[in-house]
Amino acid sequence: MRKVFYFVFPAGIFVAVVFCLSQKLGPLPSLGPFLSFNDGVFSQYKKNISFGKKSLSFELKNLEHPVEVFLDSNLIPHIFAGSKKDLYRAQGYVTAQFRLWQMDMTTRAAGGQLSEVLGAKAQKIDELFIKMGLREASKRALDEMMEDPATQLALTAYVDGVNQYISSLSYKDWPVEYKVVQSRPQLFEPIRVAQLLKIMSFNLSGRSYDLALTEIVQKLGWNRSVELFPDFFGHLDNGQNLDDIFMQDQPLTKNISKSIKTSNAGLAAYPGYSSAFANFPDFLLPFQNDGSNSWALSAEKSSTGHVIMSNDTHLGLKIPAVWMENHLVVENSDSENLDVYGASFPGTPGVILGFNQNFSWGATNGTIDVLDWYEIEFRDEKSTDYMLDGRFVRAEVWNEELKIYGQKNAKLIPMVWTEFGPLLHREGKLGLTLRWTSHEPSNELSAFLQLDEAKSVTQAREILKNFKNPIQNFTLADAQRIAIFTPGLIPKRAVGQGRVVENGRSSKNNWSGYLSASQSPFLENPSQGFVHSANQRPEGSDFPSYLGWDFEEPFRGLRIREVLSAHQKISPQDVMKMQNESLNELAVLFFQVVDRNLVVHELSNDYKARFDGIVNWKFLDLADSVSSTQFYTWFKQIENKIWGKEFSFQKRPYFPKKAFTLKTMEEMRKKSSIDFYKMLASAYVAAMDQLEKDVPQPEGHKWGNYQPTRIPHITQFPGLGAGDFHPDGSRYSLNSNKGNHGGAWRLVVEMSNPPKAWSQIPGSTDGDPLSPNYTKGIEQWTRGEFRTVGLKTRSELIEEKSQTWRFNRRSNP
Amino acid sequence: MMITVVILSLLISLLCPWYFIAVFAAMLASFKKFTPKELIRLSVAIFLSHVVAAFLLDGLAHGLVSQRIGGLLSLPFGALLYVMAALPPLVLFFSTYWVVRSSRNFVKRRA
Repeated sequence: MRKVFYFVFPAGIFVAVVFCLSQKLGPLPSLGPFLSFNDGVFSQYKKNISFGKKSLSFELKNLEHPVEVFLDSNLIPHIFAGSKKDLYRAQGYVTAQFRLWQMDMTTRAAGGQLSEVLGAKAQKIDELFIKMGLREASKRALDEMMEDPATQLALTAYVDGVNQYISSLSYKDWPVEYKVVQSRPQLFEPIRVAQLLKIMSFNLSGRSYDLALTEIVQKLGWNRSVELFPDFFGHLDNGQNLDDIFMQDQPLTKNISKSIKTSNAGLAAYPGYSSAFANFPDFLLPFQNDGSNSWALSAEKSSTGHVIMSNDTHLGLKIPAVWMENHLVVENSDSENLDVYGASFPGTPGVILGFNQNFSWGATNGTIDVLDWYEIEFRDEKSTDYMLDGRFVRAEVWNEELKIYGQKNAKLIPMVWTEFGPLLHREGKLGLTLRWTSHEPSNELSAFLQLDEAKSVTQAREILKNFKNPIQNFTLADAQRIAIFTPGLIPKRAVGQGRVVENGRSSKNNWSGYLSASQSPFLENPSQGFVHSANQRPEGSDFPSYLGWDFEEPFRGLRIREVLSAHQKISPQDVMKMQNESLNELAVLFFQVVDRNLVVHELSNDYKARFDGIVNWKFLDLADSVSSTQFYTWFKQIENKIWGKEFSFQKRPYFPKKAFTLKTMEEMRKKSSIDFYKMLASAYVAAMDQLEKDVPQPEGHKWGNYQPTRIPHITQFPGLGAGDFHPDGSRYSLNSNKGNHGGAWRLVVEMSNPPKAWSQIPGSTDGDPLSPNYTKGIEQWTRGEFRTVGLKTRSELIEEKSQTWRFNRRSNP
Repeated sequence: MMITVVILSLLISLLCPWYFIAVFAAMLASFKKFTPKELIRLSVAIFLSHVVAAFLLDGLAHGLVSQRIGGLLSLPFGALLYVMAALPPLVLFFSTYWVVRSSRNFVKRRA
């Protein structure tokens, strides 16, 4: 027995050791291969050595001609190919080499395929996206893409390039994230590209406050809800004070009772929605104060005599960066010529925003309401027949598969698709569906690929007429002209329709089609010499359809307009300074309403001393400003004092817009100045007390420390993010820094010949967390430093001693 | 002998898949008998040499492996990753050597 024990005991230990080292244990990867010196994380040095070589050569199947890729000092790939097919194939390969994990995850999300790699923890989000119809919408979009020969060519070549890279990988080459989740990178299908465009569409147009506003209507009534959440005024052209921000004629208050209020009168106080709203994840709500800046200056307005285009896309900050800069060139071909520089989403061919020799373009999110919720009444608690115009009609019903890593059988997700879109939530006989323009078949990729080659504003407008979703305000500029165009599917609907959950029992409440592309807002070469957008409403109240109410607060828009109007001539350097400007426009307007000296009178000596900073504050949200932090916490307390009681029913605080709060403050002051300043003083005291409680160290009161910038890893893996950084700026300044959200790509282009350009990106091309280049560029970005970029020629790149990758044709076996 | 074994174990870790250290230990156990004290000393030497090797390899990767992977595994400090990296060779070598020797003794005694 003893002998047996002496054998079995060590044998047992050996088996246990081998098992533990080769298996994934909970969140830990299998440590044997993961920590291996030969092909695990410690073999990174081999990759760095091979990557650091001055020139590398690769073999690619299906190439028509050799392709050269030059990596400049910022690691930006300049791809020179002999045909578009070769170009997109090489772009796919190069992008995958730098960003495979990011591409894989972002292209999976809309298809509900994250769980295939990340396991059960991604199941909820996958289920939600499938139910929202994102997978179905991606299929429809892919069909459209494949019908267009040019898009099909780009798509298939790009995916082939990605797949050739994936096929070349062995375990040692896998991006570290795959080693962590212990999942082999799988080959891409063309639908992944469609899914990426759909997830961007979700981010930019797939969230709404309709459910929150429905709850507010339930509690406060229609009239009050319209009062508190009014429509914002359009172009901000009529002035720059508070009264001009809101629509003067208030079409909602006039017309709402005639249309929407009547049609919804029969609804029994929206029984299911409070719980539905409470159960939906936060990311279904729009990111407050999300948005971008873009403007273009005419040649007359520009100090250099050349048109200037400026764009700052504000998106969630991630590492690797959301965008990847590319320079794509097709040369030596009679029929195909392309020379474009700009930012791409890793996972899509071509350039999404950028410039070429003749034309440049930028974008801000359109924020027009293109998603409406409907209440559906089913025949009974189990049926999928629903009431429409007095009779029951059959919904389209099918199952979608949800595969989960580590589980043998796929889960089936039941899909119920009605006239009003897919069913997302059901409580007994009642259900919530959502109708969204993104469900319509569309091919946005075609528009982007054509923009890459556009030669003029006129041509670009024609191209963009086929752009459907997400609606964008495109700033367009060629050597002579500037324009702003807001293409996309705009639903035809009555005033106020879609603010809250609509009655899905009547087809009258459905959208009555879409506006034609020629009706989309367009402004070209205005006499003021500039066009601009900071996500504000693109049209006034006389627009032929209701555009929604939830536009971005007007602060950034007002500031852009103010600066551009105030200067006769503006240079590209001025534009870069503007993009980095930290003036808090909310504070500027706030102190038009509030007299600082009168607040001081209401404060005790102890708080008076602290208020000194605010008294002398120049409204700049600089990293070392304590006044910025004081102002933010103070304003929050003021909001609580004004709205807290009325909105106490909310589980998630959702108050009226800041601009409306300012307007209300003005009314309060006019009513009783004494009470008003008493309220402000008590809010200030509460804010300072709270601040000291939350952040006891005075150093933590500096704005950069109070709201540090933390850039999380794309799939939130701990340790792979970057931060803390302490840049200037805030959500109410042009330098829109919101901690984990901000300028994801900034571009300034002067349309000279050749064009001159400068850009900023929070991160590097290299998405390998173990590469020394991974966080390169972030520090520069926090300091607001622009890099000179451009349409460099092959000889310029050789002269710069750029790293060269040569792709040769590999003959098929 | 001990130095040779340590160097060989390092070379195997650098050039072969992670489980090859077990193959090496098995081969060693089949022709060389160490006393328990020697085996422990040898295993500790292999462990320490792997800690040093992990440190040097991390240096070649600009220290980013310990920084990022240490963060990923929520280690209190990155250098602990060197210890973690040296544990699999240690336990694999030790347990394989032990089990092969015991099986030899077991077979011998039964015979």
